[in-house]
Amino acid sequence: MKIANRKNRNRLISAAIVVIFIVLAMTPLVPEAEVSSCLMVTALGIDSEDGVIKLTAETSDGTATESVHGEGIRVTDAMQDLNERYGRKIELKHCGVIVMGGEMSADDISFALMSLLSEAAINAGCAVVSSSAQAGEFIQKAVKLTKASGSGVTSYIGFADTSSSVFIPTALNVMSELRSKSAATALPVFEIVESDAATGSQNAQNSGSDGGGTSSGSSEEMTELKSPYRARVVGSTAFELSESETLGLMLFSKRANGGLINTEWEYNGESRIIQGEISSKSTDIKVRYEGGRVIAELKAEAVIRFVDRFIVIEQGNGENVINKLAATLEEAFTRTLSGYVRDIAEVTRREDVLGLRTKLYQSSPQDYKAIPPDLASAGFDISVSVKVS
Amino acid sequence: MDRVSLRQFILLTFLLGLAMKMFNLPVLMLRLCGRDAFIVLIAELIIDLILLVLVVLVVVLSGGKGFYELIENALGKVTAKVTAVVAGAYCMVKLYMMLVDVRLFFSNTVFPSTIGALHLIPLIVVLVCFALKPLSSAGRLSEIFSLFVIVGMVLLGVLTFPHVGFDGLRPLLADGPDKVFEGMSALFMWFGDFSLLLILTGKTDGGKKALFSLIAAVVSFICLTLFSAVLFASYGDVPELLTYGHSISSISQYAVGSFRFGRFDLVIFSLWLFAVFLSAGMMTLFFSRSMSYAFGAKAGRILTYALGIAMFAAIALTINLNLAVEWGMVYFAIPSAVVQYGLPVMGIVALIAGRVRGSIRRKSENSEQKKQE
Repeated sequence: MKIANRKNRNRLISAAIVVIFIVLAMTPLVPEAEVSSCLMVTALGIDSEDGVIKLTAETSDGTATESVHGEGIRVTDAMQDLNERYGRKIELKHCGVIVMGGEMSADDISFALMSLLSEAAINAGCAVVSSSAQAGEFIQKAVKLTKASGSGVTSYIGFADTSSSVFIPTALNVMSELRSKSAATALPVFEIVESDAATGSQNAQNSGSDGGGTSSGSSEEMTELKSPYRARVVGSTAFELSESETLGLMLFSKRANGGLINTEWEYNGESRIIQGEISSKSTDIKVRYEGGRVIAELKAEAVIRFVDRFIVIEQGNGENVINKLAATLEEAFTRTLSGYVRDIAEVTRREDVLGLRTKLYQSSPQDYKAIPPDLASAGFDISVSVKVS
Repeated sequence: MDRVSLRQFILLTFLLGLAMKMFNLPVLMLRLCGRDAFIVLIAELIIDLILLVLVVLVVVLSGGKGFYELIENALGKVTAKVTAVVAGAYCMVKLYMMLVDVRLFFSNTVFPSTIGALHLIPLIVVLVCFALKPLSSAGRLSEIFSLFVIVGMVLLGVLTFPHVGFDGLRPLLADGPDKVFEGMSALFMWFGDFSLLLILTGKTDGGKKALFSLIAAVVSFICLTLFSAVLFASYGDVPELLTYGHSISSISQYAVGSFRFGRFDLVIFSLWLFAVFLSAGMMTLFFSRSMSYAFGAKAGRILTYALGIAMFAAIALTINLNLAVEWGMVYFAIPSAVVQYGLPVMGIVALIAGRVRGSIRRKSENSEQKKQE
């Protein structure tokens, strides 16, 4: 009898605790924490113009998507401006992507991310990309894209990351690289293109795009997000990389696992463009200080699966020349990848996007103190090997 | 039944090895010592392993006596009661620091716009209940909770390790060893949780097999070291970015990108909270048992209720949580080191004193017997 009473009492206590917990968990306790009183931001664009920070955000309440705008001297001021303009508190914890305007310098980006990260306003894993023009314009077009297709720009950027052809840095990546000894980072440049389907004319937010991406829209107007094969370097200077330089950078990026490579293949006196997909890769950068110069060993090994298999097989029709074909293909892809690596090595002389100074500091802090302030005199020892499958 | 099985003892060791260190400690260490935090962590964990060896020796060699009973027999009742009061006070302050840590974490990461202290009410109620239950409750909970904690760690490992470059851990000792010494002396409060296992002295099955708990501790420390290394490598260049609210679980977001997995960190730290709960429960239980020994069972019970109320009031009234942590590091570091490392040493001294006294008694009995013969 006594044991039964105790069990009943324990059950009542347990139930009471569960109820208290659920009630407390369901209530935000203060009105400001209600979801309806928040501007739930899914993507944020940051521009810097004449010392004024302009924020443009894609917000979503689960049913509708809209763009909102605020500005101020600092990011926190601009956020406050947003709160006041729209009468709701800006909530960035679920923001998946930050788009930096093409005009943003390394200092602008660093200050903006510092403001957002140090107050834990955004998640450290938030993607950071660049638009070569105004980020505000990009976000407004992204809202159109979201309204039309039902998926936000964050989903597309996440897809670009998982589809392995593009490196998407997180906010903490960018911040760490800018604060590292190398003091430079590279942001992938995304573009949204609006085209008039009737006339076929395009109104690109960024110019110079090449294929891929996703599109949506009515028959009159089409909004299209293109996959980026370009990147923007920000450090002591800021500039956009060519496609070949970007591919070289992606090759050494740990986040980008693959990607498509075109190479010019010559066989039996005929020249063809063959497309290959990097199915696996391994890269290594070793840096040493020798004879007053920084010497970097850039090593890349890749397994490439050539896409247009029938073109290659056709060449060996009736002949037992598979090994020869593979060898010539490997040579062609090695030549192409070596070119990409050489290109990005040249970029590194201007801005240390490969993180050579950081690597030297990590391996030998004493040598780091002795190196010259720039890498203009750096030597590169490049080794690329390719296997085709 | 007021006992724990060998398996439960091992699992409790595993959870105590992780609990208080998995939330904000790596962040504090990085802010305090920079990349050298890695060396500080390894050194502190080695000290903790030595502590565990002492604790397990006390547990194994106690001969079925409780911790305070052991001290009472060897060093007298007054010493035992003073030890109980000091240990209780230590648990009280440490529990406060732990709950501050939890509240800080929640207020920064989960509910930035709410009054965090109210969320502690159910936790404190359960902690008080936990403390007043037999030890078998703690043992059973350790069996249930370990599973959740292991799942949380596996998830975090899968999400982070392939994506993080451990090169960021270097260079170590770039500015000399000063920061290591500074960190070592300031961070004692966050270690030494194994001393809580002393309350299981005389109440653990398995005899010498309790030494297997060392393996559990090593496993938990390897996990802790790896996850901390991830944080040190990732935030090494930007330690100023870290607020106390960041934790190792946030790293999953950084490593894989929240744009791919959403707020997966919330799931992971929800799993870790089980370890934190158990650790806080063991502190409350240690306090309750110590007070019961020092002032009697009824007073111990009342003081445990009082502790719950006082904890809630203290945390609700703590306006600046970060300042509380910093004060704790300044004023509580040395006292906590003295108590948490002193308790098992005292246990060992009591064991030795008990044995010496026993052998002297036996010798004198033998000599008296011979005289009589």
